[in-house]
Amino acid sequence: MTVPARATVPTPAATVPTAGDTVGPLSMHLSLQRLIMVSGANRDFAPTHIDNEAAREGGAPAAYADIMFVFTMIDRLLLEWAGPPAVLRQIGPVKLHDFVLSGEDLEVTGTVVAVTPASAPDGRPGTDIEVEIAFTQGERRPVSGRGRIWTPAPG
Amino acid sequence: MTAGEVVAKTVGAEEISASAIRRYVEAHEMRWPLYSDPEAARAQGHDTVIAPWSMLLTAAMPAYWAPGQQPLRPGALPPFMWTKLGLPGSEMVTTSVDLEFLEPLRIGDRIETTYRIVRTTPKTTRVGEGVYVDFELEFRRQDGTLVAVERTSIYSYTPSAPIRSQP
Repeated sequence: MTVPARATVPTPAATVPTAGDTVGPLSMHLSLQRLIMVSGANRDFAPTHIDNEAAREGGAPAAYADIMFVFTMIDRLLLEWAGPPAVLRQIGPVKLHDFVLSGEDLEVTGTVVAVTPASAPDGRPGTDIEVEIAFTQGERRPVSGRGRIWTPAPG
Repeated sequence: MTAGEVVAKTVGAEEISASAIRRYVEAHEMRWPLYSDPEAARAQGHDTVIAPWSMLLTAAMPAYWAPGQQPLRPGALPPFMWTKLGLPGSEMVTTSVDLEFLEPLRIGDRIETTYRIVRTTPKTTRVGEGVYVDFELEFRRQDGTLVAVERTSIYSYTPSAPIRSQP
């Protein structure tokens, strides 16, 4: 069985963002092999995340990603868009509505909802950027949430 | 089980290592340079690469097994404390999770977690009778520095009808 690879990487933000700007998308085909790689890296070996049969016994249609994977896709979406000087301040609140399923494409998108002047703990001036995030698989929207990054003032 | 009570403390199985970071970056195809390029990390004031912020819970996870312990049973779940707190009910579902990051995770950091109950709210829902429990988790490295705070809400309940598992 061959599944065509499909991956989209967030385009870095060109200027100081404003509310309403789109973040991403980030997309990835979520194969069972991918979930097994993720399990090896994040140490969550719960059978429902790496074994379709175990997931089905629990009522899910297939093996599904864990919350740490969800956090990591939000990490990627925000920082690959914001660039190296950014700092990740917050992931959440994250709400789980449905399973993030293996065997399907996943797309993660964001919308800037607030841009606020804020200093870093060391006093450097900068900006807090809050982003509303949605996970989409086909017609389903299994996860919604927010994230917040800080970026230093230009110069 | 009362508000403010520290209900558990755990320590991550191992110090954060360069190889654990590399494997995490690989599995998730993470392109942010500070996770893989020491020069890019130094340009932002770090000694070398930092661990992905989202790797926090992996760094905080205790070992599944260590010498001297009973063999791991098939189907074992990650050794987080949620299932060991004696919450009422037979089932548990996480309803909301929030992570706030205060300091980056560095190679050599070992993460200790303190679990505290903030609020409990008994409630009967369509799935059964139970209680909402709001937790606050503090994550500290060896020198005591607070690196992150997690706020998690869990609904712990006894099903009133056959259930369908949740994520």
